[in-house]
Amino acid sequence: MANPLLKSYTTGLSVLYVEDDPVGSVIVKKMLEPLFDRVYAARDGAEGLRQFHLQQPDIIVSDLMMPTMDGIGMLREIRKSNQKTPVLLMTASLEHVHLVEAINLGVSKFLAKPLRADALQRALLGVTREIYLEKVAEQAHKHEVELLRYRNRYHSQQVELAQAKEQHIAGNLLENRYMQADEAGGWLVDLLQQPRDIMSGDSYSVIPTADNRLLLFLADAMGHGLSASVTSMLTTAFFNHAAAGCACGHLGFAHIASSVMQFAMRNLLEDEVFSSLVMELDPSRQMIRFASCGMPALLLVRNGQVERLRGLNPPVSTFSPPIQLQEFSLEGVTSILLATDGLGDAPMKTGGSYRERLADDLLASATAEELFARYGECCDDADNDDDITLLRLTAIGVGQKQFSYAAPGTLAGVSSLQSYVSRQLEQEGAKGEKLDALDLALSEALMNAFEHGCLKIGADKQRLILEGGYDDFVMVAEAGTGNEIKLTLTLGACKERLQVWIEVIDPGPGFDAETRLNGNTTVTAPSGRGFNIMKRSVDLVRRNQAGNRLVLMQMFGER
Amino acid sequence: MEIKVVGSQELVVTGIIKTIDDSMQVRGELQKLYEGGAKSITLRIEDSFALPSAVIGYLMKLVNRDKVRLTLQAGDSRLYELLEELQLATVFGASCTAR
Repeated sequence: MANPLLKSYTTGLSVLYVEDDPVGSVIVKKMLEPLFDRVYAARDGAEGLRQFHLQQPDIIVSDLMMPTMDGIGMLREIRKSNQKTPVLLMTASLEHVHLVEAINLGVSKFLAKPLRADALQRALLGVTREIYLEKVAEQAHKHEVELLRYRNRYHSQQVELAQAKEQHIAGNLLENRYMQADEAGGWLVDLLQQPRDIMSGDSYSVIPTADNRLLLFLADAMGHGLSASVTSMLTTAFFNHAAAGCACGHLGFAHIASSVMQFAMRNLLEDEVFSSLVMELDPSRQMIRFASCGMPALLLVRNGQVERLRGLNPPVSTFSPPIQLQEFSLEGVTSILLATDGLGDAPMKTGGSYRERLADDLLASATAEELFARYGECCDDADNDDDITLLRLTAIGVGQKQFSYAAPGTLAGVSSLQSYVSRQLEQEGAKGEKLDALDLALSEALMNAFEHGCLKIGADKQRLILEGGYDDFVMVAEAGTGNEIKLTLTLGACKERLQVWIEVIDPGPGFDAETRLNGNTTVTAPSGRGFNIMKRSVDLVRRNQAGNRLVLMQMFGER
Repeated sequence: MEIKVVGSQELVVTGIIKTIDDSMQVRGELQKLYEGGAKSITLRIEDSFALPSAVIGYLMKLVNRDKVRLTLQAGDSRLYELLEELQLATVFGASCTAR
């Protein structure tokens, strides 16, 4: 009867048995067959070699002395391509020379003939145990690799989902738009974030209200990564919810600000603090109100000078006192910078922190991207382990010179308006590729105003182009009464550089800009790429809520 | 901007295509080639770093409706990058000839 332990090791294995003695062969095969799944037999070394290559057995049991090719000869050939398969060698007597070579060829065990069943079982127990353990280790390794792959897949999927969720909650709803104020100009939000982890401890939200106010939220949770982002995300989501109530006119700003801070307070751990800022910009009243809890000072550019405005509240904690609101006038203010401390606290290459340079760089830069580039020149961003979020509010169309134009709503009208503006810009010192790019963006803006505002072409533009009627339609269009395009050109200075603002106003009611201007167009569509081209061509481009005004900003001169 | 017509199916544009007039001129010259029977047009844009959407729209019509085989050679790598970004490089048979 087969040893149960041995049977558990041999299950699933195959054996090649090589023996020239037919009587002995029958006896040994009877011993092997109950143990192995498959038993292959051969009558000499040559046949054993062929069977080995054909069947690839797990173990070889072979006689030593055989005609044609003996056991050592067979093993010598096998070892040329296989070093691993264990071999049990049976022999009646073993000469010294055979013994040395057999050992060198890796014979696992020697068995004395006549072969006894218990000796064979003991020898098999030793070699099959090794095979068994090897297979178990191999399987465990495979499982480990599989588990690792699964974990990696799962982790990647979680990263994607978490980031999608983060982007869904933290957002700038004014990303492609500006907040129009009165007849011309307004405010835009220029935002840049440099996260350090899968999810950021910094968060933000920018929400315009239906009555033309702007609500902003900026948060910086203690610590880094996931734990910090939970606090930031939760509070941002609450802010969004409260801001929706404010947008409907149900909640006042003071109520929103204190609710958001209280919400954060209730969800903090005892040893946790949370820096955040809630702000309301009201362009019609020219006022800003805000509550800042532990955030760096706001920087305002007013009449060409930087003012620092420190918040009145400590960071939110479970023991925070009631918050105090602050307000200031927007009179003379052209830029406001809100940033998390990852920007100001960054160590400069020359020593000190970037806070020392921030005011100068704010004055010398026109966009968030440009300010961040200046930070990158002073600091090694790779050494900064804190998230950075900078949110820059910029007043549109502020400058020393302003020109206003109007053109009839015809192709010739917009074309000559473009030439006129381009010449004016050249006279003011604009030149080079930046002027070419601004010209390109202006042609997009004017054609957009002409097509949508004057000709009232909407979704049917694609049909007109594809049917070949577009050129005729735009070329023969005549200017109707009041069907004119207005353009305001404002020239300002940013340090030594020329700053150009162009606002194009069309007479139409606007159009569904969300779907048409975001650059989301199908590959085969003949239209819908203008906004994307403008974005690539100028430093800033924004449209108003209605979709009948476009603003372009371009800087000229060495940075 | 200058446009040179080479043979019956090739346009070479030098300078920057940037104004409304430039766009209309390029469209007009391409239309003339098409009306002249060109089924295959090579558009060599030597210097422009971008294309106005009015020209892109016209080229889309030329390729998709008129079934003209277009080969666009961009002399500035930024133009080629723009076409790739807008997923138009293949549609326009674009290649970059910038050194």
